[in-house]
Amino acid sequence: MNFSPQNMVSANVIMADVLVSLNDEDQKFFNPGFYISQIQQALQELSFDTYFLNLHKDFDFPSETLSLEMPKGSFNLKQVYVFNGDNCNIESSKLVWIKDGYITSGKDKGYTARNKEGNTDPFINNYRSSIVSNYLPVSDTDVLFCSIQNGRIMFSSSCSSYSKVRLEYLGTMCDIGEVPFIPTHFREAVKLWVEEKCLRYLKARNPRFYRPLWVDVNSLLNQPFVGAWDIAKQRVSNMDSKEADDLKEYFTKMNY
Amino acid sequence: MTTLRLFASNIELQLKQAKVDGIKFNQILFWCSFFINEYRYKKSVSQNSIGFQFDSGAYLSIFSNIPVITATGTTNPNIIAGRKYIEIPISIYDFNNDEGIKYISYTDFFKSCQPSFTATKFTRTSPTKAQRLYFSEYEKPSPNNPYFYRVGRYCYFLGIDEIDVPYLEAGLITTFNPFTATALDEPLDVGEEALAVITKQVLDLGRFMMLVPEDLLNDSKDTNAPQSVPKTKLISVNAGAVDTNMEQSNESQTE
Repeated sequence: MNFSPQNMVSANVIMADVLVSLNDEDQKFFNPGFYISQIQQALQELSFDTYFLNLHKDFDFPSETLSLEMPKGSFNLKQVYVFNGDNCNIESSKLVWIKDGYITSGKDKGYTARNKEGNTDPFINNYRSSIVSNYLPVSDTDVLFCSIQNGRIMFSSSCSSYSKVRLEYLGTMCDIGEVPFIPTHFREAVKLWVEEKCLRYLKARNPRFYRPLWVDVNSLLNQPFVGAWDIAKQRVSNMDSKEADDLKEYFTKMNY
Repeated sequence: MTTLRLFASNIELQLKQAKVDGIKFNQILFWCSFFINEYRYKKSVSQNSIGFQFDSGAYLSIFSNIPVITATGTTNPNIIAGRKYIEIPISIYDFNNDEGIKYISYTDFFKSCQPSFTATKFTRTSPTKAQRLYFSEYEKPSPNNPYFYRVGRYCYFLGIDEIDVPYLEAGLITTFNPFTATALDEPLDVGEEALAVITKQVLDLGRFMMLVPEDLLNDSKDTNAPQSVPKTKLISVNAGAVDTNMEQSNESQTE
């Protein structure tokens, strides 16, 4: 996360502006929960569009089921590690690789996959061991792998010798049902996103009155390059200056 | 400030000066009340040229400690066993979306120095709209996000079934009632700017009532009583019809 949590503003601060803008200080057009829901959705959309929120979470390894549900609010798994010890003392951490099409029901219950040790048919004849033996350990027990299907991560039996799993993923700002907090650099985008949504719904009630208002807000939000949404994206892309500077330094110091 | 007694007496005097007699003081009070109510209602729903509604607390009354009742049995209509409700303690205007109920809130303080009506308010819904609320995690009725719906003179609640709420506070846009014990000598509960309008309306109505001929009044009888049957000859104000035969016979008699 490239911003301080102390700079975040609460949903109430966003609502304070939005309610005035929509002339709904009495909250008669929409109820308070509806506004919070829209703010949450705005943050989710920002997360999907900008990948601004990198999260990680540790779990006990599911040694029996070998499967783990992806955390709430996560939408893009970036890394999977297994390790022993605990968060304060990580021992022997290993990277877990993705094995496409791997499906298992649990420990000692076997699995299916296209690339599987012992496959023998006219097209795939003991495929894995014959190809990788020069480079990698030849047995499934030596390779740590997993797959993801419908938000469920399934691990190989070899991972069960580790007690913890760490997932790195992109996420949304908070779980559904919680009150969201908004990074200050997204404040304007979130505000306009909520206003645009509300005016779009109000158009159904009184199109002649609300359509001009909606057009104005939609323009402020979605105008290319200068709209609040594009500005939010630009801000996120400019946030990783440390990472960009370091990469530049690495590359410029290489002797080629 | 003007009292109702002063206001109505003045109108009575003006009616007498205009030779309109026979209208009782109570009648004038009644006319005053419904013109005042009409004025207050129209003022509250009025909008300016760009559609923004008039917003004033002039006719807002706050009722604290309204007891919350949990119906133990069902009594048709409108009392349903097990549901929590309050009885609206006074007559209110029937605005669109029940806006006669300006707010309902808990009575206690939400945080130090922050009254509950500025924190958790009951949001208005209706029995037919309430289903949608349960579709959204954020909008689902709960003690932090409660709802009310009006059924006649009762307000029922969603979201507070599991908690103990003995009393609630409500802000209501109340109607004007001139017939309470002290209302005649209380300051009149309408803006002073309204008095000219209401005076004119009452005077117009009084004059109009006096313009109605007595013969056109409905006496609730399907036949005229014998004593009210006209005894004098009815004479048309139009020119009399000319009977030529009669004229000829008169001429022959004179000859």
